[in-house]
Amino acid sequence: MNDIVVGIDRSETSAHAAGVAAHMAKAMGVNLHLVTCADKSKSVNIKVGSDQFHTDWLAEADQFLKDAARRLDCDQVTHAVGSGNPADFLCDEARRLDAKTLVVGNRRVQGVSRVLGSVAGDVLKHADCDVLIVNTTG
Amino acid sequence: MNDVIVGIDRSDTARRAAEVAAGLATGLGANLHIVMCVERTKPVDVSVGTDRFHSDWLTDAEQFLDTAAWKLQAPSITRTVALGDPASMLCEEAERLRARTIVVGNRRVQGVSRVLGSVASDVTRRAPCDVLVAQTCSEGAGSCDVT
Repeated sequence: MNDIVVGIDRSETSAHAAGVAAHMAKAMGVNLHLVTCADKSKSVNIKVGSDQFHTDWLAEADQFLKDAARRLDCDQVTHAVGSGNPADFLCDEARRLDAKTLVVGNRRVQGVSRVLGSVAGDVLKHADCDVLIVNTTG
Repeated sequence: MNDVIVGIDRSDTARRAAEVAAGLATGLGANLHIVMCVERTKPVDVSVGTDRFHSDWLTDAEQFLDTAAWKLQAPSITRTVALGDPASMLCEEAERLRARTIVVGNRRVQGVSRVLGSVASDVTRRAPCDVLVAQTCSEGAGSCDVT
């Protein structure tokens, strides 16, 4: 109900945003919900000798979120993996949880810019809750 | 150093943003710094019978900030009256105090819209710190689904 939702990927900007979100969730005593969007097409079978490994987008993303949750200094963390447009999925998750705040970084994936990243811009347009834009350019 | 800064005026959207800011400051145990941006106007003296009232931009703004601070719940509250463009003043105050977060409302003063108000969009572009855009559309006059 008072959850803080943060979208992460493998970028530094999102790691910074997640750190700020975790700090805030801890201070406010609320749950931190980690969200990532994965590419559904990534599914790989690997054979090493007689061993077979299967990695798929869902298991990989799930593992990524579990690792991220372990690194964050926050007691109460949940997570969800989505596919498709990250901004839409973030807003949907925030709505589903009736979250208090959505946290995103302000940096474009392409590089440092004063223009908001597209995810941040889209989230600002579509979110029903408060949006914290973490300054990750400084 | 870890201040939460919020700009206020007499609008509903500012009041809601100030409440969100107060909640954040309380949670983080940080100082809440409220800023009111005004334009310099001529002072007015009014006489009603034997009573005389003096009104000028600075005392009016200070009084408004006092009332606002009194209504808000936060561990500590400081305030400033600033002359000038709200987005620039908020960013300057954030720099001066090395603040953690600026809080702004997302609603245009002119009405309900999915597009950010000009102060909010200027602040998100220029702020030296994190910016919390408070959802101020859902209260009062309808939703924000008008595009």
